[in-house]
Amino acid sequence: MATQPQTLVDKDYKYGFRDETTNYAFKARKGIDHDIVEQISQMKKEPRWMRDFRHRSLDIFFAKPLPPWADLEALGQINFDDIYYYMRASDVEGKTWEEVPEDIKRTFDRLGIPEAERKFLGGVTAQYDSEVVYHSIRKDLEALGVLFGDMDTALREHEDIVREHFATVIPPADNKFSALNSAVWSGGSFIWVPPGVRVDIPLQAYFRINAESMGQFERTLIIAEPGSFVHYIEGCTAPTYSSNSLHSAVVELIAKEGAHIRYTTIQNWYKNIYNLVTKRAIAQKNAHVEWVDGNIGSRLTMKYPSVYMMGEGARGDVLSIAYASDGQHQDAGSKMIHAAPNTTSLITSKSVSKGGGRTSYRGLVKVYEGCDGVKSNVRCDALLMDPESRSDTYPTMEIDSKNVRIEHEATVSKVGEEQLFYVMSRGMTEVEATTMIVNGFFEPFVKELPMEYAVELNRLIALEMEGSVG
Amino acid sequence: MTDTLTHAKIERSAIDRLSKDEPAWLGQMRRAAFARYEELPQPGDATPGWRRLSLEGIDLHAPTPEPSRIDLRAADADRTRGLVVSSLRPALAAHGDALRETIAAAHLGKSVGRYAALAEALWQGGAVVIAPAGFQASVPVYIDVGAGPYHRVIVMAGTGAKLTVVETHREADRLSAGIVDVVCGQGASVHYVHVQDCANSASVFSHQRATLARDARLVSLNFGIGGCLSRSDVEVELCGQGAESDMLGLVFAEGQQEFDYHTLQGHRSPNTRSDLLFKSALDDRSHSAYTGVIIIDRGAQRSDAYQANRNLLLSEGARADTEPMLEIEADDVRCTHGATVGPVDEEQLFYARSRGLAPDDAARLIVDGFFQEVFEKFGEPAVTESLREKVAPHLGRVSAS
Repeated sequence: MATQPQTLVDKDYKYGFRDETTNYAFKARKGIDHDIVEQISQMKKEPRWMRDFRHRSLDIFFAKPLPPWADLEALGQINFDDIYYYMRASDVEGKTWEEVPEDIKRTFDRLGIPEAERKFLGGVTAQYDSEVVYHSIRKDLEALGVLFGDMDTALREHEDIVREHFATVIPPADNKFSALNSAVWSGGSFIWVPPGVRVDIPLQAYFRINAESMGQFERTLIIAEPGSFVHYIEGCTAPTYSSNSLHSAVVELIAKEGAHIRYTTIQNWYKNIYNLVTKRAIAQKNAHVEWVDGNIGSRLTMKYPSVYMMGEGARGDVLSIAYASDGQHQDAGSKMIHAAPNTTSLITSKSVSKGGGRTSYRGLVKVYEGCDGVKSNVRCDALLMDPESRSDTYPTMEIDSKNVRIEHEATVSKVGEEQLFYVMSRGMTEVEATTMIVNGFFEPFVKELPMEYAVELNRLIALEMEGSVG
Repeated sequence: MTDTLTHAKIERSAIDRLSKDEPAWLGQMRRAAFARYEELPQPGDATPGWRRLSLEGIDLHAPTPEPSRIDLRAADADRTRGLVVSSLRPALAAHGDALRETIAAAHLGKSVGRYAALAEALWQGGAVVIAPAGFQASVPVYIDVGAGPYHRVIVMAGTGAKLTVVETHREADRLSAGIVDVVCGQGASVHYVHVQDCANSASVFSHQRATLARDARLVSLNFGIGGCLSRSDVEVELCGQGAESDMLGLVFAEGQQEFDYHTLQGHRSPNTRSDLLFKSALDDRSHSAYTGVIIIDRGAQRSDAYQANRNLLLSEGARADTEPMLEIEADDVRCTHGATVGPVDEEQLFYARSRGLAPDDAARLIVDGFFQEVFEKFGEPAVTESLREKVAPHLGRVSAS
């Protein structure tokens, strides 16, 4: 198969429509400097400590180089001066669906948000550009004392909790993009679960980017107090645009003693978006953190969800899939840091490269000295759909403790001819057979998703597999 | 840190002296290699590719060039049948054209680091083994390097030739650096062993490159037991269709020894096969850092590649880092890698003890078995038996706790 030109891919992009929103209430100029940061902070009427934090972070962003190991060919194309760092579509923040402005609703209708809400949502925080516009929390969540809202509101209403935890998991100096986010962050979700409370319904938010050359820098903080449980779901789609956009989120999870956090993401950014995200969790004694992470869209994704196991008996799981087609590079992976004895981690990564796409698994398993009884298993499987595509695996293991069990295994192959032959002998076309095999390959991931996501993902894969054969 | 002023800087004039009786082309390459050496920074804890190592207290300055002591052994019967086993400098006169081709092909490859460049620039001792087309060796060729900071070894196997070469290093120099080039002609079959049994105070650098033509086969074994710091780059380029390579590695480390292996399995042609197994057993506060990459080029269809790194931690203070990498640009391939780190397996220990073995004996048996797998894969008991004997006294220290 010949390399598919970008224009053909565009046509197939499911969410490739564009809203006619032009009435932005506030529109910052392009580029980044201390004035912009000051303006953002003043607009949000933030406390002094947060304003100082932003300015400090901006200096770090300026000083830090791009990571030398990254895909610099792709990263080098980002023009940081040609990006809007803050914008909001509406000053209205609705509690109910009716209050949300019409043009924004149209966008969400096409993404199926109300439907998702009807079915199982506990609460919705839908981010449109940089500001949260829709927000509802079910009454029983409120009764349980669970806080679920956007970060900006949380900073106003629960400043103590935010200040105690904010940037304690990912300091601005962690990397260039976490520094950028720390300087210009806006929106994102804030969740606080009181001790012993189990939130049985997944909490969910949709994020979108809808202004040309606009970066989106949301900041999510989830705190699970001892013995609590919460499942948070975040899905991303973005409309069609030609110039490059930047998405750079920071997501911090704190699972206190015996707490359990599950974080599910599917990113389907449009194929010109740079998705450079820092996601990290701290798991204290006997806590359990799970990242379920799907990467389908974007031009370049760099995302390595991590779990720092700081207390004995903590556990970290990552289950991820990556799909890259023409012009895409999914540079994803995971880091598991074992800083306490008897901690356990499991990474399962699956990737498919097609039509000249490139997937890379990049990971780290680190065991500190004196951490006995650590177990870690890393499993990476990659499928290559054609001779133009590429797959890389860059795992690293640094083991400083003796009584541990560390295993890593990776395979790269193409769709098995025998499998293909078998399915086709049952009367399917090659495309159908390939789709079925790829869906089967992703199955361990898909079965961890709520129903709507699973259905949508299967559809997306079917769409992507069209034209992949022959 | 050692005071840099105590080291005499190596002058370019040293190369003029070295190359005075050599062909002009060689002198030019030496000078180019020296320029590369001068460009590359002295490794420190933050240098890419070096940061895993603790370099504190280790003097990595280039020693002054000195003559090497190298003993060569081969069967007289093989020599009379055309096998060339010679020191490198005299061979330049007799086999200049063939050597020039090999040396030029290897000259300043892009992976050549600071110490490989230094060895290329300043080698004084060296060895050449040339097996003519169709030659079948009766016994292994032995290259024993006893002393000297810089050396170079070239092994060339002609079409269909078959031979075994065992290169053993026992230098006691503070620092030594060597480069090895193995060229396997069409259908040639070569077994190559590299033994690093240097003094425990030595820093040892080795850069080994092999190129395989169509249907050639190379089985290599790196055996590391000596030195305080040992950095080896082991590269195999499968250039011709049907080429096959088995790459084996075995390290037994104790005290504060550090072993840093970098391997490359380069699949440049279709229908090539490579299989890598590197194992290390780490006692006391020793440290192994393994970095390996499989590269399958675009168009190298039906490549089959495997890579495994197994680390056995025998002591609380021992450390293992492992970074097995894949870069795959062809789809019709089978490519798998695996890495493990852990202590002697509890279940195996229990099993051995249930058979009546004392705990420490059980642990030794298991470690011995861990090594045995590599020796058996190499497939030449006459060669590996002596390596096994080298490990034996160290095995005595292994305990079950």
